[in-house]
Amino acid sequence: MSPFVPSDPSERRSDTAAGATPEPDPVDPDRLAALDHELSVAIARRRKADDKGPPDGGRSEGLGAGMRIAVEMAAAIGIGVAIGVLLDRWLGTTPWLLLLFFVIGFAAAILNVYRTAQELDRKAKARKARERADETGSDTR
Amino acid sequence: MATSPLDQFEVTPILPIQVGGLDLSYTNSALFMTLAVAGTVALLTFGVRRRSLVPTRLQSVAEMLYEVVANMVRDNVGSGGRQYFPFIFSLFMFILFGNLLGMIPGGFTFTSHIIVTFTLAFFIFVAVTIIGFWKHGLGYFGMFFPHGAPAWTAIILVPIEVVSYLSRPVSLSVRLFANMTVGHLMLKVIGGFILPMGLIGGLLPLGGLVAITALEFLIAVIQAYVFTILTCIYLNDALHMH
Repeated sequence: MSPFVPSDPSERRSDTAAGATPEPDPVDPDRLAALDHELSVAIARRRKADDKGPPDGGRSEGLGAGMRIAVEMAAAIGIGVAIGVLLDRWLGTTPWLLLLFFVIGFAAAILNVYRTAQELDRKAKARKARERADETGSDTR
Repeated sequence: MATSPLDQFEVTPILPIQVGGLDLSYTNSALFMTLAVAGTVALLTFGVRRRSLVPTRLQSVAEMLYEVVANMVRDNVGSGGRQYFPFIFSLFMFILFGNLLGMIPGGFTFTSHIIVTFTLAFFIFVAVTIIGFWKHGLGYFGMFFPHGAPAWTAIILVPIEVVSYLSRPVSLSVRLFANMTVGHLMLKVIGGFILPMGLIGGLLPLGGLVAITALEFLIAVIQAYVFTILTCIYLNDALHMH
């Protein structure tokens, strides 16, 4: 990891407030400062890389969204057909309720797809807003 | 060597147990579920044993997992979801470990069985419905009828909403099951091409196999995340009706 040389405890004792306030987790402040510096450098480097555009432009995310919508659609149609078949078998009305519930299932499928798309859209907007806030805000995350 | 790409999904008893005609054998599926739970407990216990300000790698992993789920619950459910965090975190870890343990060569992916994912999804569905009725009483039936629509449209809209609501556990379980099964099938099938195609021709499927293996790791994590986030969304619907 970091090319950091840990200092011995006696050296730390002479440091400013280390002895005065009881710290729950005694960590060398010099080390923290060094890590802080390294972190800010890394964040700056990441920022610069991000500005050039995403390396893998959300490709896997699009794949996930597509899969999600497809499954959402199939599930609603499947449930509609299942309800139709079961009711038909129970009431002996083959095939009318199957036909009816297939149509209802299809409508539910469209509803599911619409809701999923809405939610994905909302999430994408929220992410964009957060990124914009990140850029204008301070560099502490 | 396995002869069929489907062999990897076979459930085989390790410790046969018969109780009054019921087959309660300890199977390879059960073994990997045990491993998933043990792995989760071990990771979190050893990860936070020495809590330091500058975390070790294991502590980083434990904290990261906690933060991912905590943020997910906060963003999708709000402060009302705090009390459900333990369940959602356990669910996430169980599925994540199940998916990742399946990536070990020779391992068994219990999330590639529809009965496992459907049991999880069905339990969530029932629990969320109970929470909904518990919080809103009979007002929870309002879930099935959008606000402001003319009353006569209920005859069309209510069945559609009911089917949409019932499709939740199906889509939740099928998504995880299909992703895991298809991924592992693909690995086996493409892996089966390598030897028959010879030294030169086999390089192509070998390269593909490496790429798909990487993709499968991604999918294993993403699907655990998606399953959990949808649970949060359903929980949010039950707590604050849309």
